[in-house]
Amino acid sequence: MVALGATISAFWILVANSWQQTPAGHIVVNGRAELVDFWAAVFNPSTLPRFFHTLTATLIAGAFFVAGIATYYLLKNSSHLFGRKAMKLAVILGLFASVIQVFPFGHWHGQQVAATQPEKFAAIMGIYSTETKAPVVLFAVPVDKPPELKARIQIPGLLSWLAFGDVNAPIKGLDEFHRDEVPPLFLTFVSYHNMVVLGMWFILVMGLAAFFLWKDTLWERNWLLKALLWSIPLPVLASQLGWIAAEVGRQPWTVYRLLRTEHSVSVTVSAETVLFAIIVFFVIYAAMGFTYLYLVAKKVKQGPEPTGA
Amino acid sequence: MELELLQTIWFGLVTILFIGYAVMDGFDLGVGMLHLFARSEEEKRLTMNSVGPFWDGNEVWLIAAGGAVFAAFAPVYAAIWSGFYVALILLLVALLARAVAFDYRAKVERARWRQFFDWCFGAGSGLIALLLGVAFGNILHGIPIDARGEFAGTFWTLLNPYAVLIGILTVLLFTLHGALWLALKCEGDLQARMILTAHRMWIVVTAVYMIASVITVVTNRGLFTDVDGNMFWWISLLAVIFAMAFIPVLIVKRRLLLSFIASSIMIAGMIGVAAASLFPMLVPSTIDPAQSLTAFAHSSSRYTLMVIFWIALIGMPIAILWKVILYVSFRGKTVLTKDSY
Repeated sequence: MVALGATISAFWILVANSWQQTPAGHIVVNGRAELVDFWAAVFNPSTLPRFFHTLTATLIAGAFFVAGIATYYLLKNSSHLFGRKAMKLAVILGLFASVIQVFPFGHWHGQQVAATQPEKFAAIMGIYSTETKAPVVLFAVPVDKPPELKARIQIPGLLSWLAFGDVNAPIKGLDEFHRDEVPPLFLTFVSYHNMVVLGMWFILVMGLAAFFLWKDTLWERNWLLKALLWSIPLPVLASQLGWIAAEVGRQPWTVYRLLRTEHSVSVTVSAETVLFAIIVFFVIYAAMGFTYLYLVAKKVKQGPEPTGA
Repeated sequence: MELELLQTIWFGLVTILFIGYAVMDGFDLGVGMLHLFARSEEEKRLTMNSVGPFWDGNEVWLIAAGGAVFAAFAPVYAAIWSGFYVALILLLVALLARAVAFDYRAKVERARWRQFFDWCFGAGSGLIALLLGVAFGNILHGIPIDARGEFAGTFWTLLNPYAVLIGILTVLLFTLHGALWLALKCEGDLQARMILTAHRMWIVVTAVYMIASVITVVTNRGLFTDVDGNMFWWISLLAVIFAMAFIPVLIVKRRLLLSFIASSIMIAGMIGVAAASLFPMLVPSTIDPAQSLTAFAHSSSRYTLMVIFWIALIGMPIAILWKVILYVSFRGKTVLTKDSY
């Protein structure tokens, strides 16, 4: 029931965000967007790819969390029964989730962005001028003036093929859009690429763990166990990076091509008040977060209860 | 369905959701405030655990009510949520403090730790009741809504004497409601003290409610111009009067469940009277009555109201069924176990 509730709740939150990214099912009357087709708004072009991509991200985070905690027990005692059971489950689920996260879900989400938000796609992929045989940029340092990518390592044609199934398909570059209608370039590019790097890391680590699990020698590979332990926060980091790419990539729009961020600012709430609120919440959440880590660490050290193992 | 009918239905549904919130979360906020007066660790855990299975579900009514205003009356949501920004931030801080108290308090056995979360729970609950009461007082009294439909005051505008009086009334009312809940869920000395508290709070609530009513009638004549033919207004008023009169009788006869139900009806009636007086206004403007935000002029489109009407029609019975199951499963006296808060 908890899992079902959380999933349904996640779905509707993502519907709202997806509608902001790719609005549908509405008409604009007197400057107001009015709903005309409920299902078109709910299942707008980015809802499903975003939902599956996000849901899988949470599974990866869960798998790494469980694997990391199991590691903690296994490093102390490699025949720890609870640790072994938890590790098996986490590695199988973690590898599965890490793989489907890239294909089909990440791929699907990328194709959708290419089709529905070409400015964002160009920004996160680092395509600054329209080209056929567009490359997948593996590494680069984006600089601002003039906008270009320094020190590029790339695979030509791959992006065109991934996005549209044809190496000769043209990918729209940032030069095709109004200067004030493209998102910030550095943040989108860097966060997206680091998310992908982390995604590859998850497959690698979980893949190796699964291999040694199959050989039944995972329990002796301390280096791999340590890698799992230190990877606990990485899926959360990857999710944050993904969201930065998605949300900064939506700029300068609150609702894509309907409402600019500068026009969505409240007329009655001052910027200082908002800053104050952000600081208050930052402090409270930081305090809560640290307390939470302290309590989790305490619980983990206590170990599982005999009946629960 | 006609647009006007849908707008009226949604005014009613928003009212029902706020009533649901006040009745449900009202008692656990009251319990939170009374938690500060618990005399031993065991009593503290009893008060906290008496609302343990319910409090978070109860708070969802507030989200549902806010969500309903957002969906059905978006311009009202925009004006209020921006206008009351600072107050809402304070409200969120209080809600956070309270929620965290439930989760963290029992996890560490140091006295200082527990004391800190006792205060988070108690003061958080009190602040929530006060802020919501003040907000409600402002809505009833009206706020400066300008020609653009925006709030034209500041945080201090909201702290006017009338609104603060309604805020205090809300704190007292929820304390009474919480005391009746604790009397129902606890035994022995704690129960005896809660019965006494409920008696005393009933006297205070009745007195303050009467004073507030007189002040409302004197200062806000405009609210009562159309109420004569409004059936809901009369039903709500009668509910308040009868429930209020029966509470002390029921307490004396030790019909504790009935007295808690009576206090629920009383709270529902109080909000019902206020909502029926306001109708069709959602937020009266003190600058110019013509600039008031109303259900007829500031709603979403007919199609949207229709869609969310169907969602409510499907969702509300499920939510209510779940509530019934919850309250039936956790009926009877509160017992502390190893896994309690």
